Amino acid sequence: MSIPRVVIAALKGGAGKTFLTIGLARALKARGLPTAVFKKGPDYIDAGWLGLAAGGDCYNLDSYLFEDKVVLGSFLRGSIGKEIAVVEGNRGLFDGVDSSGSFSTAELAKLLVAPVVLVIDATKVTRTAAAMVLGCKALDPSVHLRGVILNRVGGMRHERVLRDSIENAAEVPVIGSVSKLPLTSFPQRHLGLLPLYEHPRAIDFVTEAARVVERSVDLERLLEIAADAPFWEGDRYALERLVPTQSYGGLRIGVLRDSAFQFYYPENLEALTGHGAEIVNVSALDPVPLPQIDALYIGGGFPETHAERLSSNHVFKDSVRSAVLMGLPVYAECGGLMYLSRNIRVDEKVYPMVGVLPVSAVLERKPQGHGYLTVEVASPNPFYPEGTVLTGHEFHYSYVTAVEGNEATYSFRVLRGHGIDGVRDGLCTRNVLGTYLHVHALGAPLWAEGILRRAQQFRKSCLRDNDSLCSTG
Amino acid sequence: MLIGSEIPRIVTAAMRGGAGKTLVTIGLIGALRRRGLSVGAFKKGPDYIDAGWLGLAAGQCFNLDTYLFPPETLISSFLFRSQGKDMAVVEGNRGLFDGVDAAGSYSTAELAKLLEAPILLILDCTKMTRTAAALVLGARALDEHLNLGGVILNRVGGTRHESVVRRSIEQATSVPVLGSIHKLALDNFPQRHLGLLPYQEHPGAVEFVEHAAQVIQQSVEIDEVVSIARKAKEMGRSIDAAPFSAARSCRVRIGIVRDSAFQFYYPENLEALEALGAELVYLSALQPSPLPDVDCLYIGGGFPETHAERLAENEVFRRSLRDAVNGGLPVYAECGGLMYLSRSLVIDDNAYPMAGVFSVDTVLQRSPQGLGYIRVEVTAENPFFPVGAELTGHEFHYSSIAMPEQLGDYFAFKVLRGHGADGRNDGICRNNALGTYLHIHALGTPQWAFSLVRKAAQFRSDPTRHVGEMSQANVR
Repeated sequence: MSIPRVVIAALKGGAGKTFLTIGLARALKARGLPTAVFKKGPDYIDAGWLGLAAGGDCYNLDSYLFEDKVVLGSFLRGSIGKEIAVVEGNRGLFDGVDSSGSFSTAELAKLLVAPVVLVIDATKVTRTAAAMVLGCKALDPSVHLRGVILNRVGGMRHERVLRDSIENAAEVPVIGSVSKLPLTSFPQRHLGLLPLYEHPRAIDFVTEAARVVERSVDLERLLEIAADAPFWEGDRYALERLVPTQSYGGLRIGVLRDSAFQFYYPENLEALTGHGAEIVNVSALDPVPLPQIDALYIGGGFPETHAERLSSNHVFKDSVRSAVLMGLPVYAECGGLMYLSRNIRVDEKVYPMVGVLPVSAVLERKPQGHGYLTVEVASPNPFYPEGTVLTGHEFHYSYVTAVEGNEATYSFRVLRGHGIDGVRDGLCTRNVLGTYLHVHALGAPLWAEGILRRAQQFRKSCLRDNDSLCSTG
Repeated sequence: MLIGSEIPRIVTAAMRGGAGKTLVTIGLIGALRRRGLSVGAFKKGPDYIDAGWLGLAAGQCFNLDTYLFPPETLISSFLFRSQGKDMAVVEGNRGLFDGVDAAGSYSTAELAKLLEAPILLILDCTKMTRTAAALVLGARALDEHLNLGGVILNRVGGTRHESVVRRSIEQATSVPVLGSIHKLALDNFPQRHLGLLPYQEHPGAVEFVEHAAQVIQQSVEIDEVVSIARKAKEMGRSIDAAPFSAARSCRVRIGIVRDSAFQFYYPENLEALEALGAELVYLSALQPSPLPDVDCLYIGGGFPETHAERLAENEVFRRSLRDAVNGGLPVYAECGGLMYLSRSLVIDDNAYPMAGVFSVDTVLQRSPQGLGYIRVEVTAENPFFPVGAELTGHEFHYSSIAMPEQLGDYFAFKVLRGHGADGRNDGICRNNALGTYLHIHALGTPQWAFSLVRKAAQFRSDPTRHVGEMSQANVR
């Protein structure tokens, strides 16, 4: 493999990594270079912005969720036909799940044999930044730390002192210096960026980020660093790709995709279509009933910021409720779980939702679960065999109240993370499963299979009973 | 008088500004005092607010600054002020290696080496786990002569976060982690202008110090900190004199405007005046009484902007000050003092009338207009400094000066480094009043106190002088 590649990392979260990577991806695209973008770790929002910037899908790479060879395969597939690959790291360069930094950005860079460019937040620091760079080199000399981009620089004098210190004392070239910007206009929410779907002028921001990068970063140097990545015989991993089948040809899988529900990994959708199913995009905001489908997948998002509109869309809510009563398989993650509950409480207000799960979702001011989540499937449910261990991530400011009555059961036991209540997750009723667990198809091969199998059963039962009766539309 | 140099000592430092150094240091001093240890507190660099808080916690706090003072002066001051204390705690500033240039000159690291003191590194752990180990490793690698005694983790999110960071640092470096402070323990603290609110304006300052002491007592291994401080080697230096030898040549009365609006005085500046025979008369610009009979007035910095309404309403004091300047009273005003001597202070759309000594207005801006060391050359006749002299101090102001109307005002300083009044000039003069954005430290500029006392003596012997009585008559 010889694709030029670079990992953009930082010393901690919040250093401005995503903004600069968005700008970089766009600036490279503007130079006519087809650019592959990847985001390290489970994340929908940054990945969404990166995809918009590069003009294609952004794929997540995560060695915690996927085996290394799956990470490599995904990286290679995503890089096919591109001239450069840009990987945005997450958190601090060496931050992993434990004190040896397992699954950190540094480990990913080593796996990809990719050079690292470090974004340093220059706020309230001058020469001590050189100690930071030196420390990164010292902690793991096998990481190829090839360049530094200074962010939030206060002026020419600040830049000169930082640049001289880092280049002299740490011997890493400074390839960019971005001034402190009035970027309060770059909207943040829940510890990160606002999702681009909710941003009224998303593309303008991408353009602005590219302008900042073009003005402040030596792109030639960056391309040299990326092109200098060692040749590496990893191409065989690309062969281990999903072989498309038609085993589930003709199935229609509804995906709730609108500005409230946006969190879908492209690989998850590909895993469904890869077996012949057709994706039917549906909106929970339009006053139109659910079309005829064989299963529904509701990803995460921000139902809380759309609570009023979701709540007043009775036509759609009613159609989902009656479809569920008729046995429609519904797989709902996080925001989807909230949407299927009786109501969402935000501060003092209560917004009625679909109401197929006998719980309320309550929005809190602090994250209720944030990080990797591992569950064991402990009881029968529509999608997974008992005993399956699923790993994904969770990030939710809401919790759901205890189940009322015996209409629903918890089918997951939490092994790591929080889930619904620290010990349980996977709320089931009929053919519905709601969970705080976001699964990635590359890390959970059973996921697509589970949905498709259940969809096929549903279709068959409908055909057997009465097609028109069973129509979900 | 010979003072030993074996004082147990420690320098608290961080990787950058904003890591919570001052709050932790306040709490550390409080926790040490709870153990019955007397603490000499010091703040690196020019700073009144942090020093005020540390002084509140320790009893007194003195600034140490290698840029402003010669090294011998600094060491003398450190030893003299540590006299009789069980331990000295020096709070660094900015990032450990941040100085005025790429070599880190005058940094906290340089100060620690000068004092041969171990460093206690306070690490902001927000959004970071194992990368913290890289930072500690880097701090050690950048300067091997530095004695990195221990690390305190600040703003940790919980026990799992703490244990990952702690183990990462202990596995990758040999530097011990001496404590871990939860992110909510100290950070609900009011801030202003890139730092803490002055303790004088904080309604529960004493309670906060107690709270911080409690937090540090629970979160930091104080015994270990003391033991590291005690391992500091003898400095091999001693001093034989107090920083200011009492001259008491002339008896003058110098007024000091000290109230909740004007608080920025280095204790050494006041001591230097007293050592030369001045009697200090403390007065308030917020009390509706006229200026008392003084031979010179010193107005330091502060926050006139947060007291603008009350200062403006106090016409009695404003008028008596203006009359006194018209009568020739020497007035030395720094920063907030300069703002107070202006015609009006403009904040957003409101103009608050000030003393009106200078025929300019000062305008409060949204970002700092000058921040850092300032060096000026005296280029015009003025009441206090000879032409040709160079002065070094620091500036930190959100206000700027609107163009003067040239009614007898002029600038006496040319700016060599820093911003001053307009990037080029500073030291606005009228009669015997001088207003400047430069904050001076008596240890760095010994002639400052002499100038004030000499000018005060001159004015005292001036047969035409009238301060106090006359202005009182005017008010009546």
